[in-house]
Amino acid sequence: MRKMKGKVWKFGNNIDTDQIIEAKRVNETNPEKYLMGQTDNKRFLEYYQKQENSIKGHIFIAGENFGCGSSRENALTLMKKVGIAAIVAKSFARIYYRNGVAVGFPLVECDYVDEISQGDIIEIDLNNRKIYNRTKLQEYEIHNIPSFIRQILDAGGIIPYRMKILKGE
Amino acid sequence: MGMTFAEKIIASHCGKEKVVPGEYVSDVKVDIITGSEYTINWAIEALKEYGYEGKIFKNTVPALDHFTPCNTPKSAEICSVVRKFVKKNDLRYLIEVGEGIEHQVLMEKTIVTPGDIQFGADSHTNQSGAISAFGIGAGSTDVASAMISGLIWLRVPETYKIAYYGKLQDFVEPKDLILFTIKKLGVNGANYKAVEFSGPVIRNMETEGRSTMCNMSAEMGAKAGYVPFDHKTEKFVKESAERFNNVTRLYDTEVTSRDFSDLKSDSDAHFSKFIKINVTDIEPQVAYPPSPGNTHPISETEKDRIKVNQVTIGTCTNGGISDLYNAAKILKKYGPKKNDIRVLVSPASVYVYSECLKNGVIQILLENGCVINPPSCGNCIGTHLGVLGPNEIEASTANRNFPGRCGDSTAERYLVNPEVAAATAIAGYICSPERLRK
Repeated sequence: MRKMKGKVWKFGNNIDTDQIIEAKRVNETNPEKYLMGQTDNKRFLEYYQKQENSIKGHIFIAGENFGCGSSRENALTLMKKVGIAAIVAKSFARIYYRNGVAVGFPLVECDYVDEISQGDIIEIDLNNRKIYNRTKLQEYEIHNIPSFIRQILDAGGIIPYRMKILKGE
Repeated sequence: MGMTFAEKIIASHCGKEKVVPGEYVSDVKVDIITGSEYTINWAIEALKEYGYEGKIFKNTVPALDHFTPCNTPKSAEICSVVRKFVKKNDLRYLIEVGEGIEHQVLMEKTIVTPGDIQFGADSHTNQSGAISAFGIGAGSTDVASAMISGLIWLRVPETYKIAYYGKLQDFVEPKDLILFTIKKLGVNGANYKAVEFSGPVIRNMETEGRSTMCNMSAEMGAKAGYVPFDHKTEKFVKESAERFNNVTRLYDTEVTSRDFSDLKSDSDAHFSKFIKINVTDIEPQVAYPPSPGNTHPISETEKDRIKVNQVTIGTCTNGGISDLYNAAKILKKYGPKKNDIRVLVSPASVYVYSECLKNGVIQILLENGCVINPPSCGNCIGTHLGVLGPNEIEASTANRNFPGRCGDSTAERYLVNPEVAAATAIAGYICSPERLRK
């Protein structure tokens, strides 16, 4: 698995799917314009709406229970669409975590997110289970990804994983 | 050592004698796959993206319930995509526009049955635990993978057993018990866990009340919430199957002749937590925005004198026959509603609607100034059928009050039970029916 390096945007605990993207925007053409619009970090949307392409490769950091609420997958796939590299949180809500596995998007659990500040540059190394904070010159351990989940991620998501088995590969 | 209900169901669906919490199981067979028009549409798109053109799991049941009756041409288009998909793949059933909200209809028409593993692209799939099914919420891509294989992966959950005992006070409903529980455990207090609702209060509770509690087990992060199979479940399932002539039957045997007696935890099963809740001192509860866990007892809320612009009674969470009846009872006695408040009623299904027409509940609601919405999720998710403007406030019997959920992002929603909702419509501020008596 690859390494990811980028600028940090920080969010709080219990960021729910309606804060990430409101349910009513489901059928809009470019809902990503409102990404994270209802969260505690208002600076993000302001920045993003002004300079639309400049968040590619950035990393979201949050506390407990990120992605709680709805099963709406756009709360995750929009992250992919705008180019967010990864989300690091103390914990993820159940369905959100499953969705990450299903679409092959890196959701990283780490107990030390409070050490990381808004604007820090960090590098995530999934293989060595480490986050390197290039701004503060610190490193933090991340949770292990179970080997079964890795198999799905390595296949490119849950659909290719099942399709491979159906084809008898 | 014995197994919990969750462990038994998972073991029986993956051909194992025994499974233990924390274990990853790669191939668990599902009995039924569900979702709404837009989450199933995303699943269809995901399959297209990966180039899958093979067979689809027949027991996939989409519901056209979220943006319906359609609020935009786009949602109408999505509904037709789903209809075509159902037809092309000869799927077992489609819950049509206006028929009702998925979670309600699936149980009402015995489309989901006790002991089933239901994998649904909707976070409130947990609701079918009310009839001892194992309802698991998931995202669209995940659900699409089940649609092509009939299989899902699961991490076997630890089980929390929550036992409710004591005597319920006046105007205290299942909604209050679950709001109280979410507050006690926290909004992620049961993340990844199965939650077993038990104790004498649950044993005396009807399926509709159990539905409210299982539905909102999602608000504390639970993988599934359920009530063990008992005579009340048996009666509900039997009557439902007979009423709709079991038309949507999946199994070769009639649902009424299947043996569900083992759908409970063994007496020596291990629960990772056992929580006892004495309901005697519980008042009606009010969850303040921005979260279903931000709950206060009504006596505190009354001091806050929270004036509302709109009241919603119904939704999947509290849109059953008894819920509408309870609200109508208050409105009949103390109504009508206050002039400057809109009161919207969303029955959870057309069956509930029609029963409430027969028993006079709808008439009472209309005479007291309520607007009856068609069964739909629209108002709850803030898309149509009664959304809020800037800075408006709503008291609702729905399950969520996140920012931006009910219309404008500055609008706020308070979660309450149907009797409190009705009392609020009359008094103009959030209060217990107790206040109207004095």
